[in-house]
Amino acid sequence: MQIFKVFMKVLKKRIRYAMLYVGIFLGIAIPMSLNSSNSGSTKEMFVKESKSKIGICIFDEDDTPESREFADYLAEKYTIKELKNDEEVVMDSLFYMSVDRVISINKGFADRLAKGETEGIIDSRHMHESYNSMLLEQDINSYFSSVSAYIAGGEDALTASQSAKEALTADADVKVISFTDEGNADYPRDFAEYYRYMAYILIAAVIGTLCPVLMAMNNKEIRYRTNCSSLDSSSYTKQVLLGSAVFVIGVWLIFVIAGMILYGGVYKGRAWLAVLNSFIYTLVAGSITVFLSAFVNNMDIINFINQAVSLGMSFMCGVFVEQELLGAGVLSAARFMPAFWYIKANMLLDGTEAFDSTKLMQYMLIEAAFAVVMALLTIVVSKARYNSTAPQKRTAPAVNNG
Amino acid sequence: MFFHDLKYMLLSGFRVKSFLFWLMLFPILLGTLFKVAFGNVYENDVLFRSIPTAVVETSDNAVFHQVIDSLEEEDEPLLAVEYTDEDNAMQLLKEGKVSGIIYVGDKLSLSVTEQKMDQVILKTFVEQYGVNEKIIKDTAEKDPSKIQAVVDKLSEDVSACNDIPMTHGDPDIYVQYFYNLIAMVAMYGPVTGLHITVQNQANLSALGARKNCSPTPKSVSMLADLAGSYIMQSACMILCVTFTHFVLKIDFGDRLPLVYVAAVLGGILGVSFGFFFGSVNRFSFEAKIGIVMAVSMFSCFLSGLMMGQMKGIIAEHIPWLNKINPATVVADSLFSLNMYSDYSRFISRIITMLIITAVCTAAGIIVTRRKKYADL
Repeated sequence: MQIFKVFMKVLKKRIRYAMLYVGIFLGIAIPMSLNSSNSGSTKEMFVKESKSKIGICIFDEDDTPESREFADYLAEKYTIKELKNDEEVVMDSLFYMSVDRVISINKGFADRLAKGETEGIIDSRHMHESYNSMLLEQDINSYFSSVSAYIAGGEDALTASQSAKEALTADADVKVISFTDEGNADYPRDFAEYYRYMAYILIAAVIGTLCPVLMAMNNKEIRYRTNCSSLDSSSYTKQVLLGSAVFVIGVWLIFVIAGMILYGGVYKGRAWLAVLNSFIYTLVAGSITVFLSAFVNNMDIINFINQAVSLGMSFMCGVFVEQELLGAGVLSAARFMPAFWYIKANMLLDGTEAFDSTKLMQYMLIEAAFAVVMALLTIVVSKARYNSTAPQKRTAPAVNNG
Repeated sequence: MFFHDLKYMLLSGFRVKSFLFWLMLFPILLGTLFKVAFGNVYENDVLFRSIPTAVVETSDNAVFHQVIDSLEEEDEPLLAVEYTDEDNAMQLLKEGKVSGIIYVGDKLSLSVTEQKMDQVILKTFVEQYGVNEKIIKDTAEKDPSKIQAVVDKLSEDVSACNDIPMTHGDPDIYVQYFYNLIAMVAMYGPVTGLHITVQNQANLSALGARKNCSPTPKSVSMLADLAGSYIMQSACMILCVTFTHFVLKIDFGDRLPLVYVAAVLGGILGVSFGFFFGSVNRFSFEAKIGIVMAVSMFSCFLSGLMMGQMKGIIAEHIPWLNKINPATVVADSLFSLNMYSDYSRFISRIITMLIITAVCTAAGIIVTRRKKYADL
């Protein structure tokens, strides 16, 4: 196990790099996961929650009981944000969507309302023609439609405002139907995001750490020296692969165990399938790394390839941005990448797509096929590169271990 | 001698592979990935599109028809309605072709599968119907003679919001990732700036030791290195803006020359910061690089490179920080060119960049001059 020991010695020097990736990932994933589990994920709550998250800012220059009634109505349904009445601050808040609309209730609001005038009664600023902005407009129009109707019914503006506010608290008869089975209760979407982001971190950490180690082992002079030693080349390969496997599986285990802590105990049901999916993907990450190290021997190039592969797959395959938001052309290209199938399998498991065990198996097999192809390519490249006859010609007679 | 030093500074600088990668190739790669990932998100996820809705009528409701007809007259109607039977509606809902089913009977009811904004808007729409009924019922109890006036009011279209236009620029929130990308390249400038000090500090490099015992005045050699770094960084900034605008087709507004000016000044700011930091201490090169990259990346994080809303969050809670954080200042100058028709915000950001650059460069020169070594 001489080679294995050397491998571990070299790995020890690079392990800080892997720990950096692991630490940053867990440092971000744990608070995010805790935050999403506290936000309440039951279906009934979501309908209410999605309203309250909408931010609105109100500048009440009229400051009358009627204007306060209107402001109260909005405050009960949405998150009121206090902003400085400054163009720069308002523009920033609207652009970055910390508020969706900025409402100004101008002087004379109560008088106009008393006359039943509602057309353009408030000034509104918004940046994006978004769903939030549309919902706010719809709700504000409903409020003023109701107030003007009560006024037409003979009420004064203040009473009409109070009556409208009360009338608008009525809830609609909403039925939530589920066409998918509820099996994803063991693997909720909030938690599935942890496994989704793992697709990035596994590739980045494994390539970034393992590639330099394999490069050191594959250094041409050292490799030729090993080749002409009494060590059997298959034993050499086995020991290097064993070292790589120990590292790759170790990193994977750290993520799986950290995931268990976030999960709140031992995985159940579909969560185990997600673990299996991530294991197959880990093998893909390992095989990509071994392949790269077979023909690249420059750290700068490895850094570039690492960023290109990890970020490229993550952006294109739906790790950072959900697949449903990506363009059709991007997704077509992404089909040739393993992360695409990893994410597809994850979507089946978390209930984003209707669960189908045959499809799941198919996706996992495609991922595994990538690992096999990479392994075959590695063998071809290694044979061509390290078992060439060039050194033997110079130093003949050499022991041919290849 | 100045031009001789400048020439070799440029030649050696452009041959550093890590420089070529992090300041030229990496921004191109990241920009392309941003474009691939965020290219459609604003249209697909943020902008409102009519909500596909199935309507199942269990009894005739002329008023509902009237409301839907009036809605459909708008440019972007609230609902894209398909009248159908229950089985087909369920099928459409299952296939995700509609966001919800509205059942029109004595009362309206709604069936949905998800709980996203589409469904919340549908729910609000259905609730409005219940509200109208309640208003008419309340009026009937108080003063039945006014029912007609109330019904007339309720059937009127209300447009209570007087919309004040905010900008003529591109409001796509994802464009800010490209502003931050340019700011990121500027904030890699400190690495270029650090090389000046490494090449001039005798304790950090053999070249530094050689320069310190050469007859060339330190001021000439230092200024040539500074000028060379500014040129190299400016080339990277120009490449980044050109690539994002002409290849990725990112719309920076109609004042592109000023975008180049802001980007180049941002790059010079970055170099000056690196020069200052490298000069002010005697840490090892690795330590300097580590600290300066941590500061630069944190600056980029605060400006929203990793998390888009970060600048907005800071604007809400610590607005002064956005006015002095270098990455935010660079990104904000590009943002203001796109969003504002006047130049006041742009000019204030440019002045901030010039002040930071001047302070860092002056401080770096003051600290470096007359530095002596006991032995080399």
